[in-house]
Amino acid sequence: MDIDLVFKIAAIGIIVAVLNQLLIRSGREDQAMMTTLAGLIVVLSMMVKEISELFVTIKTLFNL
Amino acid sequence: MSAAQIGAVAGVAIVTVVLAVLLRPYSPVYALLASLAGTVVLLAWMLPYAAQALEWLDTFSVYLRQEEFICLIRAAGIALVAQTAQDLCKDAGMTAMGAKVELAGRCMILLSALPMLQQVVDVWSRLLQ
Repeated sequence: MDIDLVFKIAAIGIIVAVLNQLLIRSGREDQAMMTTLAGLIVVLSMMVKEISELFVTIKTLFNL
Repeated sequence: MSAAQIGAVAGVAIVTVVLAVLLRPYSPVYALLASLAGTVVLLAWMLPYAAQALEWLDTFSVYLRQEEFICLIRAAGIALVAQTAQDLCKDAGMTAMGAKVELAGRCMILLSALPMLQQVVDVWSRLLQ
């Protein structure tokens, strides 16, 4: 739960963007979309873990 | 929470914003996810200090009854979560979603404050009889 979570997501974003452009230029639009989707799922699964941990902390702190 | 740590908070915020803006032209989804990650990191980093403030407030809870104090803290928690979600929706350009989250937050705070309101009404009705 520190800054490198942001760096990881930014890195995945850049890699997926580059791959996307690469695949589109070489004529494989569908695979480009698949790559973007895969990257998105990876990032979302990371985010869900962090957000659930955050909400548990908030719930215990503010006894919601 | 010493003064030097505000520099760390500003640093994290600026780095997150720069990364999000960098990603926006290529894929807006990752820009939004980067800003969401930055928000989660800062909030998680800030919570222990909020816990200290709440413990300090506990010393004042002698004057308030226990459930009033819990209701106060719960309202603050609901407001915090609702405000975070609303701002993220607005960042993504979804103002309508943000407004709905804000409305839900207000309703839940009002709902959690109703018992106290009921007590006030009881006291007044007894007085005015």
